[in-house]
Amino acid sequence: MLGLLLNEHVKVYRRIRTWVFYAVVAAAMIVAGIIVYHTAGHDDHLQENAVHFLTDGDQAVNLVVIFAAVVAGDIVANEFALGTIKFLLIRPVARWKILLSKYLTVLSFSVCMMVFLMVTAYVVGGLFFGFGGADDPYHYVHGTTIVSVPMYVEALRDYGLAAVTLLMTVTVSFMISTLFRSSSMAIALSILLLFLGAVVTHLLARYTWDKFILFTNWDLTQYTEGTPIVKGMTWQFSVVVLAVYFIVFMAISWLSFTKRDVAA
Amino acid sequence: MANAVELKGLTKRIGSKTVVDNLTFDIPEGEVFGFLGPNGAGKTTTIRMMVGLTSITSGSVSIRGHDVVREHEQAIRQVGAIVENPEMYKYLTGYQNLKQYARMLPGVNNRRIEEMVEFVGLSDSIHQRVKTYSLGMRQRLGLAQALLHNPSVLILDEPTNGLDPAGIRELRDHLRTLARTQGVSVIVSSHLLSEMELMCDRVAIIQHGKLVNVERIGDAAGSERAQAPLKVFVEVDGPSQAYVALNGFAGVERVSVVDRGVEVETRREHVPSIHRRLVEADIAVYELRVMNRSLEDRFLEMTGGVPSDARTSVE
Repeated sequence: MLGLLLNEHVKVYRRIRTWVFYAVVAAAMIVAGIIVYHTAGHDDHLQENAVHFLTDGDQAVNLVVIFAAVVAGDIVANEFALGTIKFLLIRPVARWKILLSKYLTVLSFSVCMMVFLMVTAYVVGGLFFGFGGADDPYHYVHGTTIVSVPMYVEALRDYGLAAVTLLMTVTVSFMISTLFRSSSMAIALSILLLFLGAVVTHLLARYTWDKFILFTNWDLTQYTEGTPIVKGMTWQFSVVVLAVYFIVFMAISWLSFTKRDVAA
Repeated sequence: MANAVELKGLTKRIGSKTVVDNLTFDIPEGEVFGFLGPNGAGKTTTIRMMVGLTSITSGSVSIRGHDVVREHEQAIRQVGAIVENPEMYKYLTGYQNLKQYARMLPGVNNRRIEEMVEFVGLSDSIHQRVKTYSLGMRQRLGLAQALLHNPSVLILDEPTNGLDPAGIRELRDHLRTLARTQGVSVIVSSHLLSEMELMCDRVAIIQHGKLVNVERIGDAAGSERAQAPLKVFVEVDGPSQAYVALNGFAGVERVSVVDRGVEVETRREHVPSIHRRLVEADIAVYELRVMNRSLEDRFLEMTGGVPSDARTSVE
């Protein structure tokens, strides 16, 4: 299994594309730093710091989601596109192990990208505005009360909840990649869902079954700041719904990869 | 010799179409076995079933006694293969590609990789990216990949594709060496009939997914050879004189005048006396040639194509 994981990592990190993704994330944070530095007033400047910048940097998580969806959408389908799947599957290794190693590689890539984004945001913020600010209070409205938490808690919570959306998006992309064996389809569909999901959810809000839709549930920040999309939804409900979707997606990928003929 | 590969009633149906129909044959250790058929005959589908890429509708494939479906890992451990084209990761070097497969196979170390690289003659370019490789070089890399774990069964789909004549000759020698010295059973598919004749011990001809015949190459050179009926072309100055001299001569079944000579239907044992007869009749003989029926003629005949009597070869 370690050998399989190493193989998949080699295939991801030997591609120039992967390093372009990292460069784009870094560039985005630097550009954001420059813009904030020049546009923020002098008073704001005093408040701006590394951790504050990091907290605002969660806007860039979508970038990570897109890049991770590209890797997830490619990792199975590209083997079919290249024809290398035939060399991959004629080994004394069970198909499910190969699939698992691919999925774990997608997760590892997603986590690395996310951590890279956070570190870059923190460092860029620190260089522009000074390090520190971890314990500054962060205020937000929860229900009818104003809650105050340390800034670093807010930052970690933001990224942690964003990671849930990231996980679900790459899992969808991975499933489409495995099912349709087409990377362009997997990448296009999963990114489309990422952006259209919110719209769809709001359009369908008048139906009671809206609360069972993936997109209604995958943004868990609705339970911290803001209000649930459908009244009466709780975070426990969303977690269960997401878990069910996750299991279904994985089952589809698993069945499709282990049972179907390879005719590529 | 023990059978390395056994196919029993192997059948593949896709929808209502039977792509491979009830194939049964055995391949013993150390044999080079050819798989011959026109495009769409079911060669690649059969190979796919043999390596477990495609499910089997009915029947079975066993490799060294292990069922390819039920004991997939034990069976496939014995097999090295190239199915269709040798597709590689183009952005990796040849060496990195081999490393990928080495990590999935027990007991393949860097030394073994180096050995195989040398064996297929890729030492000079193994550290270049595969995107710079020609098809012939990728065939070689594919062969190295298939041999990494020292398999006892080697399955190659159209292996001569993209090789130049020298490369084909080299591949043929490699396969013969592996079969003779290490007892590897080699299964090659090809539509290059002349290649198959030179490379294989036996050839299975399939058409529309059915086994038409299994032929042993060089059967004609067997002990019944003296009695084997054959056709001889004799180039002479005066075909009509030759006709007169040979018509009704002992051992001559039939003689006919053709362009620049005569064609004689006879048996191998009578060829020398036919020659003597012509010389004694003072007829100048420029050429005496056995019109050997090649595998291609038999193949075309069996698969319903047009056999070409014009195809000849010097024995």
